[in-house]
Amino acid sequence: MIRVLLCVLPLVVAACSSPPAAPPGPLELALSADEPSPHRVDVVRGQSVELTVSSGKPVDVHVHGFDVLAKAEPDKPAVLAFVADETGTFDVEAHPDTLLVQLVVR
Amino acid sequence: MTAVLAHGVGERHDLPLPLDLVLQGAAVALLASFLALGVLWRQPRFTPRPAGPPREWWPLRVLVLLALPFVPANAWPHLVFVLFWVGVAVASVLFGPVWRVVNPLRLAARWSLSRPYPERLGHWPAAAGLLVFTWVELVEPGALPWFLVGYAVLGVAGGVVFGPVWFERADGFEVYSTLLGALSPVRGNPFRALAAVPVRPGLVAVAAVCLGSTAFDSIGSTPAWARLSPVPQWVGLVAAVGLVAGGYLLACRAFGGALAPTLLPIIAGYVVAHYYSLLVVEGQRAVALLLGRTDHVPDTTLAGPVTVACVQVVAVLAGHLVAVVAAHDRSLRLLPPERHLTGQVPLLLLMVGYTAGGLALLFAG
Repeated sequence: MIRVLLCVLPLVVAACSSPPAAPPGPLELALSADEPSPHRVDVVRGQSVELTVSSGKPVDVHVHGFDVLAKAEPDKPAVLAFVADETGTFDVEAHPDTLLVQLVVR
Repeated sequence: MTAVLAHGVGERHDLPLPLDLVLQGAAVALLASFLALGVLWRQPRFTPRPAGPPREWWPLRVLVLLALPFVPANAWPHLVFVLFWVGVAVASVLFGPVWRVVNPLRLAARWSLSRPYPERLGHWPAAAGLLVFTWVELVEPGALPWFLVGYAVLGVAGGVVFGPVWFERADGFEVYSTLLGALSPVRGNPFRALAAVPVRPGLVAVAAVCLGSTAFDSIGSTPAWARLSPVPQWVGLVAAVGLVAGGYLLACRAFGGALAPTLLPIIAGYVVAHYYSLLVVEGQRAVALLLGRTDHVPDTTLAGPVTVACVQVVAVLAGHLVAVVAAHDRSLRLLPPERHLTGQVPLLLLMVGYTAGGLALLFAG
């Protein structure tokens, strides 16, 4: 059992330790709160992100973890701009609980 | 905490495990399981020996009870969902049944009518209580105060009517903590303690609720689940628990609940993998909130992506390996000699399924 564990460890370490690449240009996403199609988007740590959320009715849009908030109105889409400087998986939600997109920051 | 959170606490999920790591982990689990079948001992080796009740000291419970009114209102979700639900589970795996030692409701058993607890109820009330709690945790965190009041009232009533046996069998948190406590390495050989876990009605249900609810926490936070959004959350929770229970009943129907204790290491490994970062990050916030500080920014050094991925894979695989060894030994005891090898295969496949499923959820959720 110990031998098996010892065999696993190098694999784990090898897979965990790929060096991060330089942050590419800003990520721009256009989202709709009326017809959400939630999916995952990869973001490089340090990359700046700009989300434009359109909505047919007034709604609060929230990027969890970065605590960015904006209000979308029928004639005025919400614009949320921030720098993704923390790793993890973060929900972007139209409150109360409509998931718009998930940002995977590595 | 101004936002409405699916989980009650926490703003951030872990990074998905890299896919190659998931596949390698599943392959190791599969390989190790069948290797164990071939090379491990042929005679049962672990004589059951319960670790014995821990030392109890009732003034500790009085202290806990007296401290509860001083908990700030905004600290309750962190206290319950992080320090209590996850912290007590991890502490039990390390040190034994800790909730039994501090459970303030046990004080009610000092004035007990000592009616006999019906055997056939077994752990069923515990399984039901845990299912309701996980529903509160994952679906309806706003119902937490009502749940706590209900838990306290039921605990006091059960303690007064049936005495300490109520807490041993019917109090979900104590059953969970005591079951995981069998794995504690500081209280003797965990394999012998696992072999001595009493198999009561409802044990499979308790295991299924613990594993299934943690799995649903992963599933429920995926975009794929959000795309199914007309499906209510509670349906997903019940389906996940049902799937885990159904898998066990299908693979081990010849044994009844007798093999269910061998699933405990898998549950422990998956709980650690799933909640590790929540415990180390939100645990700090919980302590700060208990001290009345709302502006504390937790230190995330221990929750870096590499650390989290390594903890997750090592915890899941370690849980799987302990489970496989325990299941092997238990099957030798339960099976007639001519079926020693073939009789274990369904359980091994089930365990590989749980472990691979757990890894896949760490990738997907």
